[in-house]
Amino acid sequence: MKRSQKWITENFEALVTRYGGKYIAVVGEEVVAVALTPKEAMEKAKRVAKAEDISLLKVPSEEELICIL
Amino acid sequence: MYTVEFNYARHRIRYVPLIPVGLKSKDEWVEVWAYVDSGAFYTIFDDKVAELLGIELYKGRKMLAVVGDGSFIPFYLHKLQIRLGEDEFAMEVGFSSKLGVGFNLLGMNLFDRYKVTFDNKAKKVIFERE
Repeated sequence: MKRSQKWITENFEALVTRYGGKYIAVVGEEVVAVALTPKEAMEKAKRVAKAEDISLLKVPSEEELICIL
Repeated sequence: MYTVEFNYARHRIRYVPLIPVGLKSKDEWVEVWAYVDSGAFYTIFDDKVAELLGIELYKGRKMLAVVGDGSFIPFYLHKLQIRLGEDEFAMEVGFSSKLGVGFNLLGMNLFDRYKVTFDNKAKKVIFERE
């Protein structure tokens, strides 16, 4: 399991609060890019990490989470 | 037998089956997270993920999906390589600009390959195959 996988799962609530409605790129235990599209997030993240180490997450907003659940 | 399991993500008092999958673009794998949705027939991602992968959205097979309010949204199916844990295989994945939910969705067409267990007591989703 990648370190980012465990970190995203354990910090999901904080990610929703801070980045809801955006795409984030995570490497290890750090958000390295925030953008409105995954392409933009990936391009920013590639400046600091290799593609295979980057995890992209579409972060739902609080409202979207209430609706889907 | 191959088994891969993912812990749920927690949001307040609720737990969410949100997992990473690999999607193959022209020259590299990209890891994107998606919600494991047993109520969705197809796997459908935001159309912006298609852009990331270099996929021409409208070249896919057009389909319609019914959403919560009874209306239909269009999505476009493309066959691509997907990775779940250590498994790699080709699968049809839909992309839509009208997804309208906060997550990318992994639907039942992914489940066809696995025995899928939502272990809500242990707060994890488990994929098993022979």
